[in-house]
Amino acid sequence: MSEGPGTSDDERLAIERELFDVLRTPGATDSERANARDQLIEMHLPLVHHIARRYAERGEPMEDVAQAATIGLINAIDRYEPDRGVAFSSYAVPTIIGAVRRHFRDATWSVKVPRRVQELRRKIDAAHDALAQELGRSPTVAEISKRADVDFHDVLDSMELSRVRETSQIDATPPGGAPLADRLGDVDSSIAGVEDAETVRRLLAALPEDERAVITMRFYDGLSQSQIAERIGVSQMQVSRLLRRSLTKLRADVDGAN
Amino acid sequence: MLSRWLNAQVSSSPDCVRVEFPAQTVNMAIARAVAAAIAARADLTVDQIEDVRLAMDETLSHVMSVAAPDSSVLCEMCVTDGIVSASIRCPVASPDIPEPNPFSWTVLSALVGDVDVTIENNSIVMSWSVARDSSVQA
Repeated sequence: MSEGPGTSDDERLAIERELFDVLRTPGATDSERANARDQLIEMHLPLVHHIARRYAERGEPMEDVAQAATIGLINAIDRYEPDRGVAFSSYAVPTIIGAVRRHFRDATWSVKVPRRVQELRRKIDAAHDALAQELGRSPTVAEISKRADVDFHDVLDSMELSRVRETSQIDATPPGGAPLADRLGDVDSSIAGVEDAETVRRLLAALPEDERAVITMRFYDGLSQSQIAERIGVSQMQVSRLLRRSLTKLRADVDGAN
Repeated sequence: MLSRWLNAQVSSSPDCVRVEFPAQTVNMAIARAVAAAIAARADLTVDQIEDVRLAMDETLSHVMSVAAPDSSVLCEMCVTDGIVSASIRCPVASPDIPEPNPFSWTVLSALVGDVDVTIENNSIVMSWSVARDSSVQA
C-alpha cells in the first residue's frame, strides 16, 4: 500500500474502509482477506513506529518495542468493528499503547535491583493486579498505596523506577568510539608466570654454581639426568641427588619469599 | 483559550503547578515526571497517568521542534473538579509554524481530551485535559 505525498487523509480513510469491508465480508476468500489484512498492517506501521519511538528511550531495544506495538496493531485490526462509528486510529492507538505497556511490565530488570526495591515492586504489582480485577479499571496510586500499605510516594517512585532498566551490550559501539568490549581489561594468563620466573631467577642466582648449572641444564635446556651426568662427568645418581637438594632449597626459599 | 491561560497565570490557585525550563529535549523527563506526579495526586488511574506522560511527551516534541532559539517552555498543570488540564507554551521562531505531525495528533487525541493548538503573540500554546474516572472516590 503506497501512501505517497499525493494520498490525502480522505483517500487513506476510504482505502482503509474498503480494506475493512473485505476483511468483514463473509464471501471473501482467505487470500483476499489475508491480503487486505496485510495492507492494513502496512498502512499503519508508521503509526506503530511513531509510538514505539516514544518508548524506545526507556532502554528497551527499539526493535522489541516496535514488535510489541505491531502485535497491538494486528490485534486492533482483528478486533475493530467499523460499524461502531469509531475511527480505526482512535481505536488502534490505545490498543497499541496497551501492548507496549504490557511488554514493559512483563520485561524483568536485567540489572540487580536491591531486594527492598524488588519486594516493594512485587507488593505494588500484586495490589495493582488485584485492584484492577476488582474495580474493572486501572487503579489510582492512592488506591494501590492503601491496599499494599506502601507510602504514596514510594508507589510513585516505584512506578518511575520500573520504567528504567537500561543496560548496554558489551559489543555496543558508542557514537565515535570503540566498542565497550575493546575497552575492557582482560586477565593475562601469563602474568603469574612472569612473577614466578622473577622469583626463581633471584633464588637461582643465590645457589652454588654447580647446582645452578644442573638446574639450568635440566629445566632450561631440557636434558635428562643421564645426559647431564655425561656432560659434567658424574654418575646419574649424583645428578639426581644434586637436583633434589637444589629443588628442596629453592622451594623453601620460594615459600620464604612469599 | 487565551483567557483561560491568562486566568491561570494570574490565579494563585493552590491547584496549579507551573514549571519553566529551556526548550531542550533533555528537559522532557522533568516535565514528564512533574505531569505524572500531578496526575497521581489528582487521583487519575495508573493507566491515565501513563497517558498523561505520553501526552506530555508528544506535546513537548512538537513544541520544541518549533521553539525559537534559546527560548523557555512554560508548562502549567491545574487540577480543578477532578479535571487535570495542561497548558504548554513556548515562543516560536516564526508564527508560520508547521502543523503537528499527523501521528502526533492521532496519538494525542487518543490519549487526552480537548486537544488544542494555537498561536498567541508569537508563542505556541498547546493544551489538553484528562478527567478523573467517575468511579474513583477522591
